[in-house]
Amino acid sequence: MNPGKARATSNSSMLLDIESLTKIFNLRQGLATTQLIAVDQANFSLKSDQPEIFALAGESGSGKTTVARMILGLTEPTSGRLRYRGKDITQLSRREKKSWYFREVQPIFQNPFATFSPLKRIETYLFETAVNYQIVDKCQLQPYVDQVLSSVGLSLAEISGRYPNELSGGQAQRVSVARALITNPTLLIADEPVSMVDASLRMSIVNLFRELRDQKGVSVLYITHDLATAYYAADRIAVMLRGWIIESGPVEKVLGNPLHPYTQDLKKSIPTPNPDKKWGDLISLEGFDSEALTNVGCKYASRCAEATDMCRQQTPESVEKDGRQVKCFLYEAT
Amino acid sequence: MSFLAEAKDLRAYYITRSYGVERTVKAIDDISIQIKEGEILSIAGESGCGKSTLLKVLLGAIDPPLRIVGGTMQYRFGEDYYDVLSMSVDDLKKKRWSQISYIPQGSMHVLNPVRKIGNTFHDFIVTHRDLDKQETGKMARNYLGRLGLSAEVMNVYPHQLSGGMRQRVTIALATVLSPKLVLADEPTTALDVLVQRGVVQLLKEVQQREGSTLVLVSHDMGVHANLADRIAILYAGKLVEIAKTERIFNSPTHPYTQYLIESLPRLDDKSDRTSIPGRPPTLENPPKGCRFHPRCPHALEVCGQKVPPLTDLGNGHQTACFLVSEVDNSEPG
Repeated sequence: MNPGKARATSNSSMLLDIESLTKIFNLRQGLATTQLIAVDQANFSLKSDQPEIFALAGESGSGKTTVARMILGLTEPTSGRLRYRGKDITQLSRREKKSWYFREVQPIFQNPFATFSPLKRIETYLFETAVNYQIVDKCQLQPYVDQVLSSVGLSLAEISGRYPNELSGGQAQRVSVARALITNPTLLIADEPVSMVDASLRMSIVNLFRELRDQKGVSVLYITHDLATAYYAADRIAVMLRGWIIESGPVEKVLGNPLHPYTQDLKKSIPTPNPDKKWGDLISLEGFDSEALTNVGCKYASRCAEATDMCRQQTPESVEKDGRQVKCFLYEAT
Repeated sequence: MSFLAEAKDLRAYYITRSYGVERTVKAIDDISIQIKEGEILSIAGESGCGKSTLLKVLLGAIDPPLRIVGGTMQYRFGEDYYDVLSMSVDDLKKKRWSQISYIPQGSMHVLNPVRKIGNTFHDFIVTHRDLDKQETGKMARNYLGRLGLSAEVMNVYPHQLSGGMRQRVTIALATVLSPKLVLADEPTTALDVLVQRGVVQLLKEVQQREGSTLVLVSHDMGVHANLADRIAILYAGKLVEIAKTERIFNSPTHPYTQYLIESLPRLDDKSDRTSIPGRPPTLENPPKGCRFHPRCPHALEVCGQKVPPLTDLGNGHQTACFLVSEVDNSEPG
C-alpha cells in the first residue's frame, strides 16, 4: 500500500485547509510606503481522503504564485490560517518541516532548466533528495530512483550521466516531477508546470498528473494561467483576480457555466482552436489601463459590464450558488 | 496570383565557430513560401522549429551568425521586385517600417525606456517622412485615436504603461506609416487572456482597414484559429503543411499536424488527449529523410531515406508527406 494513503486516515480529514489567507507586501519607494495586497482573504481546502487536481487560475499578478509560496513556507502570510493535516504550517519548526512536511508536500516549478543547475548531472538531484530525506537505504537507492522514474515514463538508464541541457523540455520537466515524487508526497504544488513545455509534449505532463492522482493517490495544486489545460486536468478550480478568489468550485461548473462576470469574460476570451468558433463581439480594453488599485469595492467593478454603485463602494462576500462559491453582488440575494 | 513576398528553396543556417569547433544549426532548410497580398498568414510550430528565423529572413534582418546558404527571397511592392538578399543595408532600412514592419514579442525591451512614447513616434516618422515635430505629433495622435488609444500615452515613458498597453503602442508604432507587410513575432504571448483578445482584435482591425498583409508567428493554435486566413506548419526547420485555416483544423493531412490539432485541450471536452511520442530533433543534427519519421506512427521505409517533397493537394493545400504523395488515393494518416 501507498504510505501516503495510510497516513491520511490517521489525522484530520482536511489535507490542506486555507482560511482567510492574506499577504500584504509593503513596497518602499524613498520615504513613501505603499501596500500591495497580493492575496486577500483566500479560502479553499483539499480533502485528504479524496485525491484531486485543484487548479488555481488567474492572470499574471493575481496572487496565485504567492499562495504557492506561502504553502511551501517561502513567504510568511500576513494573516489568516494555513493548515496541513490540522497543523499550522507557519508554526512548524525547521526539523518538523524536514522530517515531516516536505516529505508530504513537494514543489514543481515552471522552468525545468532553471530548477536544475546546468553543471550537475540531472540524476544527482534524485539521489540527493532520497539521501537527504532518508527515504531508502543506500544500497536500495538505484532501484528506488529507477522505480520512481518509471512512474513518470523515464528510466535511470535513459537519463543517467546527462546534463539538463541534453534533455528536452518535456523530459526535464518529467525529471522535475520525479524529483518531487522521491519523498512519496501526498500533495504536489505545481506552479505553471507546462508553460515552458512545447505544445506537442504539454499534454504528456498534464496526463502524468492525472495518472498520479488516479494510481498513486497524489493530490496536485495546479497553478496555471492556461484555462484549457486546467479544464482538461482539474477536478476543481479557483479563479483568482488581483488577490481574490472570485469563483471556485467543480471545474465543469465554473468553466462550463461561469457565474461571475469576470469568469464569463474570461471564458469568452479563451482562443478556441476551432476556426468555426471565432470570437464574435469586440472587447473593449478601456477599463484595463485606468484601473486604480483601490481597496474598496469589487476588484472587477472598473471593467464589469454589470457594475453598479454598490460594486464600487462595498466588498462583496462569497456566496454559495449552484454548487460553487461566487464573490459577486449579483448572486447575494439568493 | 499576386504575391508580396516570396521565398524559394530558402536555407538559413546559424553558423558559429568557437575554439575551432564549428556548429551549424539548420534553422531553415529548403523552405519555399509565398505571402499573398492582403492575407493573414500564420506560422505555427513548437519552439526551435525555425519560425522566428523565417520571420527574420522575411524582414531582411540577416545578421551573423545567421547566414543565408541558399535560395532566393523577393519582395514585390507595386510593379517593382526587390531581391532581399542582394539589397544594400541602406535600401533595406528605407523599406523597413514604411513598407515592411515588425512587431516584436517583448514590448518592454523594444521601446526606448528613456524616451517618451511621443518622441519615439517622432523618431520613427522623421526617418521616413519629411515632417517637423508638430506635424509628426499630430500624425501620431490621430493614428493613436484611430486605434482607440488615448493621446495621453504620448507623454509617458514605456514603464508607466501596462503590458497590454505597451503591446498596443508597439502595434501602433509598427503600423503608423501604413506598411504593406506587417510581421508579428508572438505578439500576444506574454499577455493575459482578456488583453490578448484585445490585442489580436486590434491586429486584425489594422490589417483590414489598411489592406495590409500580416504574417503572424505564434505557438498558440487558438490565436491562429481566430485570426489566420492560411496557416503554415513548421517542423524542425521544414515546412510540413500549409493550407487554409479551416483545412488545417478540420482535415490536416500531415501526421505531425494531425497530432498537434488532436492534442489541443478544448474547453468543452474532457476526453483523453495524448501528446506526440518522442521529442523534437535538434536542428544541428536532424534525422535523415523526413524529419518527423522517428516520431511518426505511419512511417514507411522511404521516410527514413528521402525527404518528402511538398505536394499540392489542390485548393492551396500543400503537404510534405510520402503518405500523401506516394499513394494518391489511400486514406491519409
